[in-house]
Amino acid sequence: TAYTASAAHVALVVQAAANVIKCPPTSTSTTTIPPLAQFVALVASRARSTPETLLITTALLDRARRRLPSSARGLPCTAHRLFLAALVVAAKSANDKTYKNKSFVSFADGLFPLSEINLMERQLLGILDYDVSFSVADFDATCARLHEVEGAIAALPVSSAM
Amino acid sequence: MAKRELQELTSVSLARTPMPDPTNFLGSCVSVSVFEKLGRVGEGTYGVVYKARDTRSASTATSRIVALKRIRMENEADGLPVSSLREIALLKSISHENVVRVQEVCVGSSLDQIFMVMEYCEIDLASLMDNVIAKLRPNKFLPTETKSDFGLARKFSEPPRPMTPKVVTLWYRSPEILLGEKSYTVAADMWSVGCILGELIKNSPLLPGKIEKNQFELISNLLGPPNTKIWPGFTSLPLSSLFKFESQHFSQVRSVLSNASAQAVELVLDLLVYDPARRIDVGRALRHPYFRKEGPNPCLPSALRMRLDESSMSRPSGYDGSTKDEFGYRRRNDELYRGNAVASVLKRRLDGGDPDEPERRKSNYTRSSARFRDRETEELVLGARPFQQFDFNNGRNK
Repeated sequence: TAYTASAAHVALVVQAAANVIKCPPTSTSTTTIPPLAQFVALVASRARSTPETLLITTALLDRARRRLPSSARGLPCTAHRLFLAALVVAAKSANDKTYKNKSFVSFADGLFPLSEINLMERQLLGILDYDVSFSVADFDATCARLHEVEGAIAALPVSSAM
Repeated sequence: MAKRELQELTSVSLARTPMPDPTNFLGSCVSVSVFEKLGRVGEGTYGVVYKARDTRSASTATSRIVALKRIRMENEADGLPVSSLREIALLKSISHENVVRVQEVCVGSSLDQIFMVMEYCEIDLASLMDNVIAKLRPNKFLPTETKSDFGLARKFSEPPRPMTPKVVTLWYRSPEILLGEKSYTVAADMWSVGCILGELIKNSPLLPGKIEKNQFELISNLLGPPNTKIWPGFTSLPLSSLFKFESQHFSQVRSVLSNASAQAVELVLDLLVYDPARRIDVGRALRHPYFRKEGPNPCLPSALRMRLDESSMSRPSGYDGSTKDEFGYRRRNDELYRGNAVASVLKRRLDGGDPDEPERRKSNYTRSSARFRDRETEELVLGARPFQQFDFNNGRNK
């Protein structure tokens, strides 16, 4: 049986996406944007993202954070966009066969049209200067953080794991 | 929902919410407009290649000449093609002097204009080496990339997921991949190397199959059909029942490569072994008698450049005034195989500045003097300075 992504993987990606750029909280804006954690969990499960895809997504988001100036500010939906773009790119670099960008339109509940997903994909690649490598060091670092998140989740009282 | 999202974006900008500098989102990608297009070099499966000049440097004399490879964006629904994404990622991560480097990625005004900026290889155009570089490079990468992907995936995915069989140009695809093996190994690359080595010797593709079925027929015609004695277990591969093996029963490699030396044929035979488990591996291939017992000996690329460059005497071997055959290949030129002698002469000339050198060269190379002339004529006609980028002098003459 294939090893499927856990809540810890999702939490790790949420953490990474939220840290890339300072965004105003989604609650202050219109209600069309779902909370980031909910959005990540929804898209990741619909895209049947594997654990390695989510680890690469995390590594790409971390790399984007390091490349953006700390003064950069985003819109309420910027973290969502960054996550979606990173997931699209990570899925392509990890899998021989993967969903088309078109599929992610419905995975994201139509929050972003195809043209925006294509745009955010290329913008993320621009930020990353097309460096989508995932080295052993990246893997180790991301796994270490995954274990931290797993530990934090295990320490939570039962019934409120996410 | 999408509509409301856009409205919100508008309202944000109208409200003058502090926005991040939009240039941040382009990262370090430069605009394609900094390059002046000089011409179209070629077109491959992955996109069109242009020759261009980098206008960022002050004078045209010192400006960088690059190859711009435009990424083919066939289907907007797919976004950036997986193959392009991986090609960029790999070429950016590999730094080796035998591998063409992707220096940067630049973008045009429209979303589908993405270019890979690569070092420009003059020899790509018309010499025999063209086939070494242009053909070996792209195709060698496909299996490598799947492999590295595979190696990583195994670390945290059990069991390893099967890999797609749609890799490698059909001509270089190994029999196990053709028969549907999904957990193929490095040995598949060695098959490709065998095909390319054979191609270099034969001066035309060794196994130019048109479709998968035809490809296996060609393999079977060249090597004889596989059987369970030479390839145990091949009948259990998914597609083995789809292919018929009824062609001739002898290996034709020796007659096909009749112009090759004995050890060269041996190496091709060792590479083109049906059973991936029995195929020669990289280490053994490098220790093969072909490299050890037959001259010219292998040498570093720097020494190779010494043989091939130098404006006055050694025109690149492909430039012998010969005509191209139907595949666009130049006829084999003995000059390449006498390269070591040229190298030593050149080296002496460079190191000591031997005054008698031109005379000696003339007497040494009377047989080929006609060729030198031909090449010079051709150079004038073509207006090309082949191997220009190989500055083997390394500033020593300055």
